[in-house]
Amino acid sequence: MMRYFLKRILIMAPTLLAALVLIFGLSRLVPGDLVQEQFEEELDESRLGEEELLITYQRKAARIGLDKPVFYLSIQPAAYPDTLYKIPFRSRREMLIKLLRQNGNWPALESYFNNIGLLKRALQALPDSIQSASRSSLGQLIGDLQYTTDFSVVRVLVKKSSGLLQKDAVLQKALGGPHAQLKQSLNELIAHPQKEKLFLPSVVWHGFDNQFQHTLLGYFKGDLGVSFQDGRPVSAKIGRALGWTLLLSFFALPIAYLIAIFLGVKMAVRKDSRFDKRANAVLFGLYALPSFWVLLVLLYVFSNPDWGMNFISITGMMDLDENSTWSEWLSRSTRQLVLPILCLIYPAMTVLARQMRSSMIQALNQDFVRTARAKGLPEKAVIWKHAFPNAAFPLITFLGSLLPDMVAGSILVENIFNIPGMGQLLIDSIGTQDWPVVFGIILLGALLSMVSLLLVDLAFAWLDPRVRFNQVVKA
Amino acid sequence: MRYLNISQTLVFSLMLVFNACQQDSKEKLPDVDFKRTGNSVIVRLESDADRLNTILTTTQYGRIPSDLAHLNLMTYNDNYELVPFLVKGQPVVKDLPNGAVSYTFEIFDEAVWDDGKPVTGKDYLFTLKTILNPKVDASIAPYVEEIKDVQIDAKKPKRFTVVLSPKTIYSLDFATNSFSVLPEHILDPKGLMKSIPLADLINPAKAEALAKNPKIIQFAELFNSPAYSNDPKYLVGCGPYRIESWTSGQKIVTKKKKDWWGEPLVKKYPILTYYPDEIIFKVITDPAAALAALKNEEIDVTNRITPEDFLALKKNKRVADVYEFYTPATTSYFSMPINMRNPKLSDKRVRRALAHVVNVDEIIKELYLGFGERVTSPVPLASPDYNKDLKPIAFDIDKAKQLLAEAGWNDSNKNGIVDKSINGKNTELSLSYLYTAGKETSEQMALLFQDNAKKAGIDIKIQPMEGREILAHWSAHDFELLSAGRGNPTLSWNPEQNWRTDEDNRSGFGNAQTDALIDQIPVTFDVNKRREMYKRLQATIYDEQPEIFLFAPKECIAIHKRFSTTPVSTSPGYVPSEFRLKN
Amino acid sequence: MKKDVSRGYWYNVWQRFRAQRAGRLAIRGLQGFLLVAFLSPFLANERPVYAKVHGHTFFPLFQGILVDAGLSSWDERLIPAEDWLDKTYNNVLFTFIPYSPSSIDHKNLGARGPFERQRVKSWRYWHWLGTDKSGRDVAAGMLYGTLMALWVGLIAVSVSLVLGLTFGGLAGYFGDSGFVLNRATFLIYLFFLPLSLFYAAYLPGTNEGAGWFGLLIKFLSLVIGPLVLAYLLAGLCARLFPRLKKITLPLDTILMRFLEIVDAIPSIILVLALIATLKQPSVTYMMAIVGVITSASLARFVRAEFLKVRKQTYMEAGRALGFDHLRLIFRHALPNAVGPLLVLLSFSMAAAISTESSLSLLGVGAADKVTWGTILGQLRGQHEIEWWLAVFPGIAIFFTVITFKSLGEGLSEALGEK
Repeated sequence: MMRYFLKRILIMAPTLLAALVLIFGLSRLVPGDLVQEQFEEELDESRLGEEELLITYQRKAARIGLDKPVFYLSIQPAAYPDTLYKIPFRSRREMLIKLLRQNGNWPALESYFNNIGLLKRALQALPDSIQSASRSSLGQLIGDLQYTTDFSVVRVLVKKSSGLLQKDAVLQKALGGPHAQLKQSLNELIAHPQKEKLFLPSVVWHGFDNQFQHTLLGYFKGDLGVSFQDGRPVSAKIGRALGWTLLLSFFALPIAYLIAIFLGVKMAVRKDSRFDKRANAVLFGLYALPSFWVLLVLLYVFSNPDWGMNFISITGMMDLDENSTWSEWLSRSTRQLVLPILCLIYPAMTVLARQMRSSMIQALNQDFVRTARAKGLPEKAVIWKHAFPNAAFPLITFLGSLLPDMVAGSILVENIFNIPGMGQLLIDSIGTQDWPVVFGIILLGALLSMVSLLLVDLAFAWLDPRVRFNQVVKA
Repeated sequence: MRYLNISQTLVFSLMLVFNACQQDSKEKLPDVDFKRTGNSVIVRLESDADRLNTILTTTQYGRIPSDLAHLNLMTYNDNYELVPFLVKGQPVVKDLPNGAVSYTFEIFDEAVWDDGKPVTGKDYLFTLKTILNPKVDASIAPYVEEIKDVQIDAKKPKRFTVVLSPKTIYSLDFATNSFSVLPEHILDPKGLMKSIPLADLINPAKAEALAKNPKIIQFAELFNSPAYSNDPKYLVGCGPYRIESWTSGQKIVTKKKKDWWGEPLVKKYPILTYYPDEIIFKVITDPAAALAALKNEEIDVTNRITPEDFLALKKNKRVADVYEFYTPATTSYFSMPINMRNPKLSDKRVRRALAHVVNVDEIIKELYLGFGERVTSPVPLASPDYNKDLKPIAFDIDKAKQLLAEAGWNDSNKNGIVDKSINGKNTELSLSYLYTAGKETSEQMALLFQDNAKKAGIDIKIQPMEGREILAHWSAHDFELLSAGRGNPTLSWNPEQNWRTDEDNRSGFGNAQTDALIDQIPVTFDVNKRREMYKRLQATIYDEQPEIFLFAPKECIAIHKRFSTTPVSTSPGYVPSEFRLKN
Repeated sequence: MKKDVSRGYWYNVWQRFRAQRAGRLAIRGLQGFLLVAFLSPFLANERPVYAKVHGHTFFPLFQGILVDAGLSSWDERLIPAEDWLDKTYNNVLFTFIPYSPSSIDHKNLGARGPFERQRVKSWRYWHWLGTDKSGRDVAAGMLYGTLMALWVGLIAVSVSLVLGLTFGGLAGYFGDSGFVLNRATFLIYLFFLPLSLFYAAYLPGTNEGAGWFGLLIKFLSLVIGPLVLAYLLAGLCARLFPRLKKITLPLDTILMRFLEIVDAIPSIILVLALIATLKQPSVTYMMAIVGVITSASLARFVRAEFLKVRKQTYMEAGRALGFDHLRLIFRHALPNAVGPLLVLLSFSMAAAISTESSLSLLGVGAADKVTWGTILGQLRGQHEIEWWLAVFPGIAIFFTVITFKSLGEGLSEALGEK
């Protein structure tokens, strides 16, 4: 038994790791620049010159650990630079990539790009006293150039800027140098494309000092990191939310099972009776009734004081006043939790009851039940002592698939009933790109579902010795 | 858009008084039995505070509670003037060579920290250094970089001089109102920051070296640590309230200090008046839950009530008996930025035609149920700098068609959409319009716009998009039309960032004249002259329509009737410390 | 049940299916569903079927189809073309509901109920199911939503079917021991397959300027090319060195390990994380993602079915006769798995439709199209409920889901699975 247990756990570890890699990869695909979003005020372009802006960006990226490569290695065309992640601002990275994909000559492109920056710096460094139409137009031109990804447009823009400089002696004197450099680097870039490099795959090794490794090491130390959003430890945030979610499932699961068992058994015993038929129809209806819709309707009916039926309160779910007594809290939280729990119970219950009915019918038709009846045992004993234990097997397997359903259900329930549980935390964190929290929740979710699968396996092994020793259970 | 005093003190700065229909009855207690009594205010926060450290917090949910515990040197009064808050009288101003300026302040003799130690210029210097510490995530760092020196009087540490360069209309605000003063002896007991000169911190050349300085790192780690952001022990200031506790996701409790040093000064300095004994911030994220809390009289004040709910609440007698309703105009506005670089949109007439097909009045009336006011420029409506001479562009499809025809757009291929030959290619006037996915009013606005534009022969392709993705498109100048909401934390408007040609100018607006105007404004110290310049700039923007200016939404607020207060136009629309219990 | 052996297997299944209550329910429901879905553009449209303007007769509804396709143009007298409800006609015939799902009634904005006062010219323009917040007709939205529900379900189901069949089928058919190839072939594919994937990932950006034709050429040469090359090389190697060592790829184990990883993450979290990566959310992409995620369970199912089939004697016989794999899969293995697969697919269809609604309700993904979920979603975070926005889509979802679920139940009963 112990060996079987250990073996299962050993299989779990790499699975978890792979799941983590998967989600980590996904998180990097999400559009938007995290550093820019986190430090929007610090990266204010009106306050910072071009140079300061870049330095500040790098500093801030370093603060939240985003200045490192994402993973150990990357596979990319040979034309791509291996330090792409170091270029500040995602929008600029993307613009560079777009240009690179048409040209392939990274060193030339880099110098072209840097020269735009230099020209912008030189322009910004001009004293405010120099005001002219060409200065303003040049400012706009450079701004456009920083985002233009079409070479024909780039050429037109650079040509226009040369025209502007020629007309204005003051500007020519101050910006002539950087502008000439820019022009030269552009010509260089256009003259020497290296498109073949775009079709040559290469593997870049980034070393161990990367974001993934850091996150992973943190997990091994039991540190889930801190939230981007408020700097609080992820474990604390999740812990609080988990309490609510567990509270919900803690009530919902056993109740769903109990109702399902009694209903299912009764239906099976009185198979094809009027009760069975009606219950079956109702269950089928419930089974098709979308739970989120039921949630909405219940919420609006029972929480509106104007209708006089506000015995369910959706406010102050978290409000445990220090001076209120325990019984007060209990009565209040039951009022609040009844509907959410009900909404978690009924979808699970319908599935389970239908399953219970069909497996019980099967069990009741088996020989040993007939034998038991023939022996003259009371009907109750026949049903509960002999038939039921055999029919209960499928219900145990269902536990494994019910837990993910509960997670999905609780996301809806928590968001609609405003319960600060895992579901709400997850939606909020995905919305605000608070990846440390999202990873934490996924890790926990993965652990939970794997543990539940393990428990199901173990329960099977315990109940059915055939599974226990030699047969490897394929998941 | 956020330039000046970045909403740090907006809670205290009563900038504009709305005395619209303030009846006398509002001063008297109505004849109703309240469930809630007493001088304790419960404020609903729609989101939990991120941190309560006044320097580190980036949201107003952290700022509003933390500001109760701290004071700035100066703040704005009702007339939008900077007045002394922690210092005696206006500072002594001295113009220095090279366009610099110095201000000399003296902190109140009475001003002490909770342990009785005096508040001095050293604390001011320490706070400034903390903000400038390259490893501390202070969002206001760029704003104080114009402070070049702080000289503390050797004999009298409460006296100190701040040097700023260059001198602009914002200088005094930067020096006094952009941050609160923190206690050095409590936050930096080891004196880690003491040995680091301010000159090094503001010198970009030394930034690299400083970032490796162990003291800098050690202090930053301390300051960035969770304890400094949520442990009441470190959240102390010389302000009137003390943060008692913060239960994350639930509530923040602040209590008024007994025998606060500022109390005796109130007569002479009314700005130091604070009424409630206790202010509790309750986090209720869900709007429906907040309404239920209102109906059950569990909170004293909430803002951000949707117009629909607001009207329903007003009709609900039980609620209307207990709560007073306010609708101050906000400093934010909605607009549709246009990309002027796009050849289809480079003609002013096309942009104005677009403005004519947006039925703003319908949007205000139907989607915001009247809780909005039309704007014609980016300046906050309540600001004295707002150009009232500009008339809103009327909804007029025929006028739009006429303008389009003048600009050469006709439906030559008879498919219902106007077209024109651009660069030898026949182009349909089909524009993509980005709006925030999942935001209902935003979507409804898009649909109305699309429907009206269709009638003028303009094809609008509406595209829902994630907010951050819209931002990315916008800042990369990769858009045609989009829907934006812009907010100004204060009434002051700085055109530099969005309207200067070489800055973050996303629509592509501007020329040499506007640039010159924008550069002159900060160094024009005469109010009337400056106002005239602001108005001239607005008129140019209005004429060019680089954005279609729509309207400024009104804040919908309910406040418990046992308090009397005046709403303000800066977010959140009320000042909890100004809630005065009625007799 | 009477069995008619001469009519074949499926005829009998059909008879048994029709004989049950669930089956009959499913047939009725499906007929109604499909009818409404396909007729919806002709039931609710703002373009009149027939209109007489200035003495000329037009058929805007039908002409509009041509104009939208760029094949025709509006008559001078109809321009501006798209304000059908404001035009004055000599004579006009509108569809049953004179609104398109996206047409806005500016006089009835902000959700008007069916029994509330509506500002309409006559009963002909009455909003029978009310309007939504943007002034769109709910009835038109409901009809169009039926088509969208069909689309949504088909997208999710077809994506999951393709993926599930491919991976589950391979794993189930070959098992751990069936996939044998010689070492050279293995190495060749090991080199060329990643190469092809690499080009597939990096290709889209390199065609700036080139048209779709250029892209096609590139796709063929760079993505398919390596695979063709690998195939040829492998054939050559097999010819030249027939005695090379063979290796067996444990396809089944590989797939099961991979599924374990996907299963480790609760699927709803995976869906949400994937949707967050979309730059421009749309219902179609959203459902494709749902399809990808649900394909895991489908793959598991197909694998189990194929494993079962694999052990059957006719398959053994087929292999002994030296039939090639493709023939065995498509002629023998697949047909035997079709029945149970159909059951699973109808359940997936029901699940996909209700998943779309719940995601729309949560405000995840986007409302680029009017669906039942987006009508419901307007109630999110709201205190005052407009009952007509909740009730009608709710009922529609309920009946659709129940239709597909009874289809599944009925089929499984008819196939004798229980």
